Amino acid sequence: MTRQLALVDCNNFYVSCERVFRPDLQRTPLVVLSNNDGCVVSRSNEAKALGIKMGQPWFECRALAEAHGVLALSSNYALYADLSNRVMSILRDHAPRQEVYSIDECFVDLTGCADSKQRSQQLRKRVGQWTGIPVCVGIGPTKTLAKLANMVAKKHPRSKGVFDYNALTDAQKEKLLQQIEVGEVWGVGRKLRVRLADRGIHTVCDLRAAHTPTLRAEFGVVLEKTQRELQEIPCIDLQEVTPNNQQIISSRSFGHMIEQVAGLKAALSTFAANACAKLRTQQSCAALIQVFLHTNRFRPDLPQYMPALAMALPEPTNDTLLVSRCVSVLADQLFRPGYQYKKAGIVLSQITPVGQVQHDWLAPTQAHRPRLMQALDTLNARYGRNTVRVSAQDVGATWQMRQERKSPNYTTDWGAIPSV
Amino acid sequence: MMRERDTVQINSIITTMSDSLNPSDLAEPVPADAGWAPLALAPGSLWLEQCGWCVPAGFPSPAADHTRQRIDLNTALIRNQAATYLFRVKGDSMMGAGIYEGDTLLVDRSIDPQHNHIVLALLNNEFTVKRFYRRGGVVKLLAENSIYPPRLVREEDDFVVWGVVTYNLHKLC
Repeated sequence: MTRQLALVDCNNFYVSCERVFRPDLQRTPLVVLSNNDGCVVSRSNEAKALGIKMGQPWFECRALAEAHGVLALSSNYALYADLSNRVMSILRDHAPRQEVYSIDECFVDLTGCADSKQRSQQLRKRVGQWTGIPVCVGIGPTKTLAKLANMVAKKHPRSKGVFDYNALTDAQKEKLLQQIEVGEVWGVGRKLRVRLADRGIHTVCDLRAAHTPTLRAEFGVVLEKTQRELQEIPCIDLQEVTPNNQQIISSRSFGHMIEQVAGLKAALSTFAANACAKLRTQQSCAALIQVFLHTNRFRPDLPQYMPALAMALPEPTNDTLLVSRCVSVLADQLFRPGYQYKKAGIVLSQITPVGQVQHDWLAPTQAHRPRLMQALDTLNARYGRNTVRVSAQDVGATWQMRQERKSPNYTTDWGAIPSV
Repeated sequence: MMRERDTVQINSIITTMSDSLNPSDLAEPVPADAGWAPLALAPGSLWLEQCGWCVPAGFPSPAADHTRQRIDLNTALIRNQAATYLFRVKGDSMMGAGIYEGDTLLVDRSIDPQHNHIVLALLNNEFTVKRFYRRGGVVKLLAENSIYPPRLVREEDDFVVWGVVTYNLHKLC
């Protein structure tokens, strides 16, 4: 039996979330900006039509946007996460298997459903009614083809939001794949597209028909898998359980540029606290700590300096105090006066589950404070993030996120419930 | 294999207990220099499992067989978690239905609106809470306060029911 994998993808997700509680914005051209109001991360169809690009820095398109009455909002992740959870839970209740692929995308396995297209229409209608979020569904025998089918569903109004690749004849499939540019395929990025074009592979159909051994020799096994998936041979499985992160990155652009080492340390120790809390939720420890600093690359008039430094620990840890101290040492080593820093971050890697930590029999046992950390997590969960913190964190300092245009947390904050 | 480990852990708990004679110490991690096998004790879990039943020294609790989950307002008041949203009331148009300014409404989007439901509607892109009248092809929004006249929904109106109001939370003290 052919597999019926459906990719459910929310349309312009962040913008759609904002519109759920602001019906007056239904027809207003709208964009949502990333942290610190840096780049455009979500666009309404009207904003797309104006030529505003995904990921475009706001300062670049601001004049155009404001001239056309585009409203720009800061990202409100509490709201997006809540609506995303609602969408995902509706999908989970209506399909046997599910993989939440990102905040606005989800694979569901409809194999065995009598009429997967009708089922998808129902799902789409239900998500729309229960959450107000419009979604499109693409159905295919593999994840890669489901993703392509979803793109077709989005672009062609005639599909009414659902496109089933499995329902096509071989000739129709061929014709469709000839019309789609190879860069649209899941996992084929900009660079790869250029290299493929050099080999005469321009469309999805070309990639599907390419000589496999040559393809593998030149581009590696990952692209071979993609090709197999286009040939309807499943190579990428549904991941129903999210694997633990192998790397945890916590970083931010600063609202204002920072020149002092103390300011950097305040930000970095907050990142350390967040990353360690994340480690503890997934019950693991990290053995490698990396710190990086960035000056503002959009200001070529200023001197640029983007160093990074890593420190290996003798024993993996998830202790906020310890990591925070290491981060502070690294920051001292990296810091050079005379630069204006725009961004900093930490990367925790070499992550192992708590139960599998290899102790060092030469080094003295490190201070382990699981109960202290547990108390810290409990307090912060009950009274809000950063209620109890390392003094170096200095919350409320100048590096905090700039969110000048954020909507209220309508669904997650008792004081911010919308009035009617 | 698993069995054996369990036994060792239980033994070491007993050792600790007889050494210290102070059960409150048990929650502490075993110090590394205690002199015997430094088996990691999962803090508490095994201990509770073994001894959780033995605390009362007199009669067993007559209520033990009758314990139930405490009432959870989330499940009692919200039929559909994924489709229910909270809204705060502004204005006095629904006073007759016991809905006052500052009250919190539970609004369920998964319910199909029927005649006489109290609904959260979108009329020309503005939220409003009213009683939903639908009879013989006529749709009206009725206030529960005589100073507000009924509002007939006309062809040219942009009208949609956002959700159905299921409960009103009214603070009394």
